[in-house]
Amino acid sequence: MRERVVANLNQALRALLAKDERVYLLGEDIADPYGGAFKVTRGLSAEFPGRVLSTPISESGIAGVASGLALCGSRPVMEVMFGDFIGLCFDQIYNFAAKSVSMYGHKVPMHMVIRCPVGGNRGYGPTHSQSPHKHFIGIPDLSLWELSPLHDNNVVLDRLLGRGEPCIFFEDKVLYGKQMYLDGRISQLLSFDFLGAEANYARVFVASPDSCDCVIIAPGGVAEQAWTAAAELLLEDEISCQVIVPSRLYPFDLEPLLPVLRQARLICVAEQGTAGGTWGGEIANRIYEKLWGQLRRPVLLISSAAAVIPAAPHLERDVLVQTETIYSAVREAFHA
Amino acid sequence: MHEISVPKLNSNDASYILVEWLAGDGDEVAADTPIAVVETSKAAEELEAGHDGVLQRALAVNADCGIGAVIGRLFPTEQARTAYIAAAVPAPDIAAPGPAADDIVITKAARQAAAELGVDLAGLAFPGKKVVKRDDIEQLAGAAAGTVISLSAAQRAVGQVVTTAQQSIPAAFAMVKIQVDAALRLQAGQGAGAHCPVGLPELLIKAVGGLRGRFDWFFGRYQDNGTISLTAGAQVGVTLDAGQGLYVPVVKDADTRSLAEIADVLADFRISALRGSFRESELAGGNITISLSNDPDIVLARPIIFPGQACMLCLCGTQQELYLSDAEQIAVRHYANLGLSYDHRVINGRDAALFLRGIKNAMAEPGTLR
Amino acid sequence: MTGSTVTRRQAARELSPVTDHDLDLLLLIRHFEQGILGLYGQGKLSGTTHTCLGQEYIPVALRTLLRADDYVFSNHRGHGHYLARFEDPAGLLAEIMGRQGAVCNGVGGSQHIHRGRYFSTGVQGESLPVGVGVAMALKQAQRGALAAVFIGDGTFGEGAVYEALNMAQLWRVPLLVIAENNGIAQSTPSTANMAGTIAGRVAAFGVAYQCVHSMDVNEIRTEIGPLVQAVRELPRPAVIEFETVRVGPHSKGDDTRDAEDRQDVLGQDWYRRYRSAFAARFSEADLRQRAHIAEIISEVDARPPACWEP
Repeated sequence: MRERVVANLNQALRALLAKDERVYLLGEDIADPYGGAFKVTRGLSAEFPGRVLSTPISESGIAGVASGLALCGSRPVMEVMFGDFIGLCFDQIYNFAAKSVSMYGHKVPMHMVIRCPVGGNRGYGPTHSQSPHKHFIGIPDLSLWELSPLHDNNVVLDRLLGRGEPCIFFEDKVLYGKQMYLDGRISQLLSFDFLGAEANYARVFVASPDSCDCVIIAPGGVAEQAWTAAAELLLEDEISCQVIVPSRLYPFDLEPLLPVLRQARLICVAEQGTAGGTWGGEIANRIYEKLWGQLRRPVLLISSAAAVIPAAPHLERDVLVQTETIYSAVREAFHA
Repeated sequence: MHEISVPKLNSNDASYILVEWLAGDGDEVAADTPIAVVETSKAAEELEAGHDGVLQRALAVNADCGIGAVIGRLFPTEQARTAYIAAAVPAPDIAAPGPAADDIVITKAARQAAAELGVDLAGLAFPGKKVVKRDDIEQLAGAAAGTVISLSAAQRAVGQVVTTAQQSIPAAFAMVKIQVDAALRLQAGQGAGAHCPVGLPELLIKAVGGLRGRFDWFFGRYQDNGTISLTAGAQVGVTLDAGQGLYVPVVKDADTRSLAEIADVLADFRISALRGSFRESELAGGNITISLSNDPDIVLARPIIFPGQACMLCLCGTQQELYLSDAEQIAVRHYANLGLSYDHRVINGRDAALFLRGIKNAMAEPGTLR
Repeated sequence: MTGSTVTRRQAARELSPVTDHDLDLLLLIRHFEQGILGLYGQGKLSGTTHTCLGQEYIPVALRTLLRADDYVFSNHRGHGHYLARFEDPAGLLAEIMGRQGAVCNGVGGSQHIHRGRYFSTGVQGESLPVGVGVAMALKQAQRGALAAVFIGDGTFGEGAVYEALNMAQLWRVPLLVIAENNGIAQSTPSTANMAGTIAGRVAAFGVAYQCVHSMDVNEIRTEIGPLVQAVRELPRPAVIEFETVRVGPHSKGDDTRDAEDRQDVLGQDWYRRYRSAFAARFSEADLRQRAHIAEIISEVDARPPACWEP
């Protein structure tokens, strides 16, 4: 029986609340019967009254409340209804939650998770479809993570809450309705294994993981587009690809990926964020530090256009990364 | 007959899951009878039949259904339903689907190869393979015919080149013996761990490059109108075959570059030859070529000139001979035969001899090659 | 309240007898702050520093109403808050001067201090929602303890304040907000900053409110004691506004008030009133604390630099 991603998330949150009395969930409209805009928290306020709280529409205030809870030893999981609204929380995350870990000259643990539904391709328009990851790169003591259908959220969320520093968990909305893959197999053509400590990287391959022409690093919702493009590239052009799906986006640990990256003829990073100052640019820079002399060509960065995200679906499709974007970019790079 | 299709239930999802059938095949239902439960990302929704009729289900439990997908059909009578079933392609298994049978996936290039080679794909087995590529088809075509060995794409490309050369270039041949003791001493003097070792090939490339000034038409290209076109510098191609295929990468500007740089470039080429990983730019732009046949058993080899070039050199294996020294003692020295195939429209025998002697002299004093 | 219309509410009332401990503490803070300004003038301090001259009696009064298990959130003008709670001038000075023995290894400096359940932060208003979160946790796990947050009148410009008051009252958490209204925010008088009143703002959320005009430490404790107790026990949030004066500049050298206003303000300084009410005891304690601070300054100044690795 296949499990949907939203069910896996819901179950993971339930397990956290059940296991540890210090855990709180906070967010707008997360209580039952509504259970959250994307139904991720359905059933939880009924089961854990007093620890699953619907809040007023006060993103900044909620982030502060969560930080206060974390400061005195509780473990809050805060939901920002649409990740686009995280702008309102920026001061509390940037100047209080993350800084409190180190700015007092000794470590102050801040166990907290900020969950953000992100991403487009739903026709929600410019302020409800963005991927704001890049704005949080490089903030000391703040780590960035992304929901993936290949990583069990029971394990991931538990890990995040245990880190002792604030973690932002980005959830591409299109994934909620998709299924989890937890047994190493996506389809008859596509399978996956794991690389790195804590199984941080899922590696999707066709037929065999031994070698490939091209490596595509693609988190979250873009991962499925990437592996679909990979299958097409093999069938149409006999270009073999592996897709690396990271759970933790930042800080990015390159070491476990070096053997795979070294043997590839092309490395791509794909993301749904808009072009300019991207997460992919940061990853490429790290790759250049280690592999400059061995690369045949620059790391190929695939992102959405440098534009607002239109509401009309046909216009939105042209701005946001699609499977076709990845397929064409890789194909062009090989035929250049 | 009416088709029951999935309506758009929310703006979140592109597809839903059919989680339960509330009615079965052959059941009579009214328009407002709920017949199935469909799950969205937000909630479970009941779907109604929409019309009166006899139900025939078309989709299994747990299947994905997109907006507009047909999940069932409603017939006016039971007879109409059974007639439909009998006439239709075998109905889908309504029980929960098991894992799909392991179909082989065949690439577009493989299908094209199959069409070209007359290989029938239906019923072919590829045990242990998930993906069938062009190379697999080509291999299979060879095996099926019994004693036929199919040539690889690379080999076929070589075949085309030498055929053109043989057909279009009137080639003559000359050979000299070159003394290589000095060169071997130079090579030995570097030590075992030298990063880019200088040996006979490197010295030869440099020597050839050094002759660009006096023998520029050896680096030219014969044109049908009786002229020779020249490209700048000595762009010396070198044959390398490390078991991954025959490659002829080009050492650029061998006339102006130092011996150390040439050795560096050749070392990289050797690695690429091992990996089979040359870039196009490395294989293009040659205006003269050296064929290395330095297997010690090969005493003579007559190379085939590249179409578009005027000549090709061939360095054969290093040999030992006895000679009488100046002091009338018997001594050992080493030599190698160096052959030159040349386009007789462009180069005469006397020129060929002078050219070869130029190389021989340069190789005898390798210290002058920097 | 602008500088020129400072109301003199306590002109005539006599001060109740202050304890030796309270008097020593008041003067410790006064001399510490003046010592800081002096060091700054000598070029021995980097960055900036915000002194609480004129407002010292507020944390001293609150000292006996706050408990060790309360959380306290202070702000940029927090030296008095820290000294009233911990009576640790050496640790605080070492922190400000970046020397060994600094309470936060020199990383936080004057504005970002953490010790036990005491925190100060540098961004105005930021700590109020944090205080709500802490109070929420205390309500669930440590009934009777409260979260106290010190803010100024200028802080009421920040949206975070209103979000916090709303949630504090909705969820009935033990949050005690101490608003030190000195009539000026950096260089801007409150009348140019604040439409309406603090009282009006607080009432809008149904939060309990009390205003204190007194500078008499014992009188203050009597006045606000019951409200603080209610915050702990019900629990419920409350805002206590202190009408006070900032005798010094905002940080250093940036006092933009005119001479007449500054004179007015000096007239309101508790220091003058206590000196005339308790002459002999005051003068002895004053000298003693002045010397004490001078000694601490020279001792800390001689210490090696603080060490820290990120």
